[in-house]
Amino acid sequence: MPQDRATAAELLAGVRAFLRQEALPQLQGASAYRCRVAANILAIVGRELDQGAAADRAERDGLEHLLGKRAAPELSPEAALDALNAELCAGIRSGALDGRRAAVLAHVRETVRAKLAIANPAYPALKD
Amino acid sequence: MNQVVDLPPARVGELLGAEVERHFGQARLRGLQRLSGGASRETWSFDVETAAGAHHRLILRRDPGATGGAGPEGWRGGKTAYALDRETEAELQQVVFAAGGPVAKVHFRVPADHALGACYVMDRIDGEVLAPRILREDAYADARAIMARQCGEILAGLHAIDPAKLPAGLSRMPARALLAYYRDLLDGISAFYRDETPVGRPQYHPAFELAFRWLEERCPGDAPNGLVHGDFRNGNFVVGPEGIRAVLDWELGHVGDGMEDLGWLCVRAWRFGQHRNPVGGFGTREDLFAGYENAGGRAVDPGAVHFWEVFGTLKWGIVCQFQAYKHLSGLIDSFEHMAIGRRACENELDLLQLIEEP
Repeated sequence: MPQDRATAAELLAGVRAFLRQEALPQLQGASAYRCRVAANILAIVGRELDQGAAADRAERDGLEHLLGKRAAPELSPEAALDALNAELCAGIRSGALDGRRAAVLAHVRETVRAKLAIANPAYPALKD
Repeated sequence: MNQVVDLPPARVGELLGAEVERHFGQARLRGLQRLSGGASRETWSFDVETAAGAHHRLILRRDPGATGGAGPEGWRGGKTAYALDRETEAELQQVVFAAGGPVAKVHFRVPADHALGACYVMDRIDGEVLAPRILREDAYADARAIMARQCGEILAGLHAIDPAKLPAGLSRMPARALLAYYRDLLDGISAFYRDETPVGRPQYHPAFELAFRWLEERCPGDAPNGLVHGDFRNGNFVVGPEGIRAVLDWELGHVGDGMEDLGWLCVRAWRFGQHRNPVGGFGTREDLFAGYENAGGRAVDPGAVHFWEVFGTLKWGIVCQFQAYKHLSGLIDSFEHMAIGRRACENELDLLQLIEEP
């Protein structure tokens, strides 16, 4: 059953505006800093609501392509992503994927860029 | 173990006043105030006037209460396992001061069994510590121009200190030991999330795995051993218009490969947005290396410094995760630390760029 409006994103945006426009100007020092961090956290959560599911799907597609296999169908989306990532990490760690360095780097770069687009889209290296 | 109770300012003043008199003789303590800054360390500023008419401007550095401690449980207690306790940190500062290093003079130490907890009192050195101000304000333009070279000179001096004079409490942490420590930290945090949080999922960082693989294949086996500051970067420098006046925060000091300090200084996080200046956001590697060599440091192999820059970027990425762990494990109550956890991926992207060449 869908929730009534406001949506989660709309709720976050409203609270964030309050923190930045009303609360922040009244705060000083450590509290002002914490208020800025709090507003930034709400922005991260908002971007994750917006982009997270698509990023997870793209990551799973990339992993299945790279590893040449599909995750077991009985697994939840989270468990499937974890199983594929476990295999990727184990392969890098053991050296088994050394021969496919370029393909591994390309996949990991895409995944990290998608993470950063949620966590900190202003990070300068993301624009390189 | 550093399990110190949180003390109200009046109680700190009372206990400190007694120690000040014990050290300086009859004296008045004035202007005690807690400075903002590190969550892991309390810094108090105060002045002392002795009956003999001497005036001292001082800093008290102590562990705050309830932040966990490095004990038998290692990093699980919320501190870097090889970090120094306050007594050893003070001892190290005294060794560096005696060797002519740019560090505040330590006046006295208080042992761990004192009501204040292990702590020490040192000279207060005026200047700017906040890296973004040092990098942007006009007042520090001349300082910025010479700081890379100066960093090289300071590090050459630190690394030349006779290892026999270093405090016995310093850990020996060559590259291999550091890689093992941060491997264990990364894996341990992931296992904690999997086994001990309601979310119940481990974490995966393929970019960190690629960095570990890259570093393990290039690990220097026979680097000379000496003092390593361990956190030598913009943010731990007291700076005046003429340059660096003092180096702060010696608690990650250890015995290892001095090139670690040069590489850490180049890690992107410490450029505070000034990415065109690879050394601390203010200078060039050429100046850093020239300063180091001209001050008597061993010849700098840029490849070795690059190894340590990769290591430092990996380390900071894992430490970002460690900050979030401290909150999520209940060791501290600080939502800001959760936000730092989300900065790990900045380092992942930096690492991919740094190790791109095979």
